[in-house]
Amino acid sequence: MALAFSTADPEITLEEESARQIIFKVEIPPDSRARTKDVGVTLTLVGKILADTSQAGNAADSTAKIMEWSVVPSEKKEAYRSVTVKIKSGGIVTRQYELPNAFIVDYTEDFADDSGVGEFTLKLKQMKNKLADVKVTGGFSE
Amino acid sequence: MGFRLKVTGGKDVEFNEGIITAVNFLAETPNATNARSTDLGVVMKISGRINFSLGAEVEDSTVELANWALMPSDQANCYRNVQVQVVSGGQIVRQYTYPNAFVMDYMEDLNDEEGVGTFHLLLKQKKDLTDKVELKGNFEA
Repeated sequence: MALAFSTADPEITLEEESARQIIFKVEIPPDSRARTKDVGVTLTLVGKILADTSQAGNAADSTAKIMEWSVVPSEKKEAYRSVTVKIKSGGIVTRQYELPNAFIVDYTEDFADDSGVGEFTLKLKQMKNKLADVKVTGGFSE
Repeated sequence: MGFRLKVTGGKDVEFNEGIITAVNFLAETPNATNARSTDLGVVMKISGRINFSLGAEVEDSTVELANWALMPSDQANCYRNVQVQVVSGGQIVRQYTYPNAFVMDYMEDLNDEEGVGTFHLLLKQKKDLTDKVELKGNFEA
């Protein structure tokens, strides 16, 4: 199974070797008596921060661009981006998540002297008034 | 022990043994009460595998679970009929039927180690219709 992450405007494409885990979550308040309007859609991506050892100074991945996105202030248009995550397995796209107005809730980077590569965790949320635009599809060829 | 799930009322979802790994039934009232509360909620938690049908010989209907979770509350089919059977040794040990279930929480977890994904679905019967929940047990499959 391979995970591909990309955003549009400005574009970020994360290499498949970098992405490790995807958690897609839809939630409403747990004390609801019936289905509510207060729906949250979050996507959590966990991945590796790689370095290019063959060419010093070259980035081996685009995690640095995600890091830059995480500090974009909310008044700027680039704070919201269109995010697509594709899960490929056995030659077909088994899952595709599309969040057209995603913003970063949390972004952390974690480095330790025993792991060799760093790890990042990116938590994205679809803008709440644009929930109808979230798409989950799967089972088609590329 | 195997689990079977049937969701009707939107696009039908049917899982036989091999997809669902755990089922959790919970009837809950507020904890800080002096007597039996009328505020009774009936919840069900279902966990399973996302098997990703590759040749399309079996449709992967976990996508429909994700679409159900995204359905806005103003649409009629955000409430669906859910039936879960727990089967063991030729017997239906438990059969839970929630005629007006809605999604509280839905999660898909995919990683590059396991090959298949997992999902967790948390359902609740609409609270004013809690008495419509049908709980049965110990009958022949």
